[in-house]
Amino acid sequence: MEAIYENPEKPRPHLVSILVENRPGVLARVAALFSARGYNIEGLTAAHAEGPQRSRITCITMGDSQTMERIVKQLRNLVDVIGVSHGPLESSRILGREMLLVRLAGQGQMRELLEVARKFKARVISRSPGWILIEATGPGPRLASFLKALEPYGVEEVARSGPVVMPGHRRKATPNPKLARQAKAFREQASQRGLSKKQSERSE
Amino acid sequence: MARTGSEVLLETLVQQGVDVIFGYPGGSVIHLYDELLRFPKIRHILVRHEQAAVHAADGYARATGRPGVCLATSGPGATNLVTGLAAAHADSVPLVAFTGQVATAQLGRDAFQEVDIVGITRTCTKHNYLVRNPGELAGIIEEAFEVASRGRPGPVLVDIPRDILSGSCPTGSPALASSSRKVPRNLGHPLQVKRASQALVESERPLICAGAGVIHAGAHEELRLLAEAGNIPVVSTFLGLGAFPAGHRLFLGMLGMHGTYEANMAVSNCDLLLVVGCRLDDRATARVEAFAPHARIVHIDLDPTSIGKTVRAHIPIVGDAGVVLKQILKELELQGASPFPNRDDWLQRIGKWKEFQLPSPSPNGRIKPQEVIQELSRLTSGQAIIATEVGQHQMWTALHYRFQKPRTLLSSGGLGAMGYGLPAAIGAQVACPGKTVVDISGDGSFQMNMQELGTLAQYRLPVKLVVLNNGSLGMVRQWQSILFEGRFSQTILSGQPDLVRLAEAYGIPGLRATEPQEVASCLREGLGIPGPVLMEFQVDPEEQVYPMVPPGKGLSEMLLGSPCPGQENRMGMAGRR
Repeated sequence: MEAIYENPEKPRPHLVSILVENRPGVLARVAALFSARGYNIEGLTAAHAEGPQRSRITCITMGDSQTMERIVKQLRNLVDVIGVSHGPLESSRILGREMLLVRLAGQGQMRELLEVARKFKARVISRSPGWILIEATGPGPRLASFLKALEPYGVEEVARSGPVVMPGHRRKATPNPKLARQAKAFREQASQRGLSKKQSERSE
Repeated sequence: MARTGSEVLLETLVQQGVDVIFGYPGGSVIHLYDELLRFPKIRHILVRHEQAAVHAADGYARATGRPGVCLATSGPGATNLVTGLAAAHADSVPLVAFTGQVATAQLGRDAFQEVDIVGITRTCTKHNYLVRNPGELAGIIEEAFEVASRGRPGPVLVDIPRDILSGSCPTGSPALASSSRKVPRNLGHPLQVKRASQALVESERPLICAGAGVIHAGAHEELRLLAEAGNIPVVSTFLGLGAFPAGHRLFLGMLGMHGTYEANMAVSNCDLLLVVGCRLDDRATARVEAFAPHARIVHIDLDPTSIGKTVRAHIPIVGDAGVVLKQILKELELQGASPFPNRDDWLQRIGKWKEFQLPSPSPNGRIKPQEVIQELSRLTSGQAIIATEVGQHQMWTALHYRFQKPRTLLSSGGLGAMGYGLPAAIGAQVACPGKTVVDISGDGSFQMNMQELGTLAQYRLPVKLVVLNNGSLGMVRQWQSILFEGRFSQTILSGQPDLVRLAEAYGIPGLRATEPQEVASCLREGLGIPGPVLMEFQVDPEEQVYPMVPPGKGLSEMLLGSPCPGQENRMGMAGRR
């Protein structure tokens, strides 16, 4: 019998997107699940999702695919959790973006700095004599390299939003071709029998 | 006149079919207790400690399958529930605990008897609630019962501020949150069911491992049908005892650290293990790498997190034990009469393991605890509801009491909470007034909640208490004797009370047996007395629980007897057979 603990796969960052009931304590519940089971959260956002009754909690956690599967199953067991989707951070199945604000001391060449910012599609949102505040959005790793590129200009303060994510595909299931064919055949039969359109639609 | 929160709470309980509450009053719930006087439909059992209230609700739930209900005040009342909630959580027992809380306006101000019980119990309940406004009270209570009993059951806590209990409360409950109506997947995936059935048909050495999930699902009949149809032997987890009748030709007893020889050997040699309704925790599997090393594993459980938690399942099936077993039976039926290969060889091998006798305890003029339980089993025909505490007596009960029916073993298996048995027996006896309820305990764990003798006396509940007194904390002492070269650190109890006189102080008759020949007569006399009785057996403290799989070993590497000087060390003996 192979033990589940021994897994050659290396842990890597995963994104977990959790749709929850917007109820008191739900964030604490999700966070408690991670900490009680010994999983670490590396980044986290929580805000309203579709409609005021629901929130979306998004987090990044390290794990191999089996660990992730276990986390997701346990999350689904929480009463306030409506749905969970997840995937490795570098994957086309999940699109993630993050926002970064950075205050720079404005050392060095301002022209050079603006050139770096332009390269990363960042923009200056405020500046005073002695400092400059820049905003950037993008996938987490790109923001990390942006920060690295800014180092020579005297990074003073950094705030990152944590990830917001969405699946890279539409959630709605594509119709089953077999069922679609059956439905079409049924509609044709119905119209031949002279049923009104409304009735045949209802009977589908 | 507008109704108060207390009225709404009690009315909702009546609607939920609650007939008993186990509780203990206090300042934050005083309005509720006042209102209780006007609800004769709800019987209140006053315990002597809140921990007993939650264990009693747990015992009530395990004996009946209906959610138990307990009630405590804020602060210390609430924190005293924590162990019991964790015990119920570990064993998937449906119960709803209500706690009083300081008034809404005082929340978070460190008021008198304020604790954040919702925060404290977040990870030891299935779910919990703090009622924030009166309008949501009734809805939350309904949802709490729903959550406690739906899917894999578990404990739910509802924390209610004092002003909501005393203030006016609108009628009509808001709709439940959609997530609480999550429907568990009862039906097993048809393809997986087909694969499992095929594996059963092809297997030469199949074995079923039944857990408490079989009991929760009421699937014991389906289990028996499947086992008999396919001539498949059955082992049980500790909490699965009762799901399959002991003494049945196909039953091998409990597996695990203190499992029977035949059960552990069968698991180690089977080629297919059908696991139904259990999570395979470390006490059941011993060393995971050596668990069922030759077997394909089919794992049926209602909770997807239980499957593959410790042991990888080759054929996982998420679903209700009863439903999936029925699906498998139907699938096998479709394949025609007796599609199974001849399994005589396998059954013969198992027969040999069954014949193997552990070295019997050497007579030394002292009472052997195993014999007390064997005698109790004979006298009650394995039909009594047995509650246990935690320790050696618990394992002896599992090995020597011949459970015939589901819902007759009440024990804290997952958490292993000492002090569970006596209050759980109280809960079961309240639920089943006509049945014989016995609490088997050791002298250590009996003393952990022995204040509940007061509850027994107050309600004249005819619980029979069997105390196996060996003057020590036997299970830890056993480990110290086997693994720590007999250095007994803090496991010998002295200054013990005279248990018989203690019982008598409560007006409960006490009996004592000190000689082996007194065992049967003492039990017979005790079981015959109406009302509560305490029977103390002064047993041989040298007796230990065997078989025992030492930590880090596989199931087949059992110790079968004491490694005494001059005797063969029996470690690994089982593996050589």
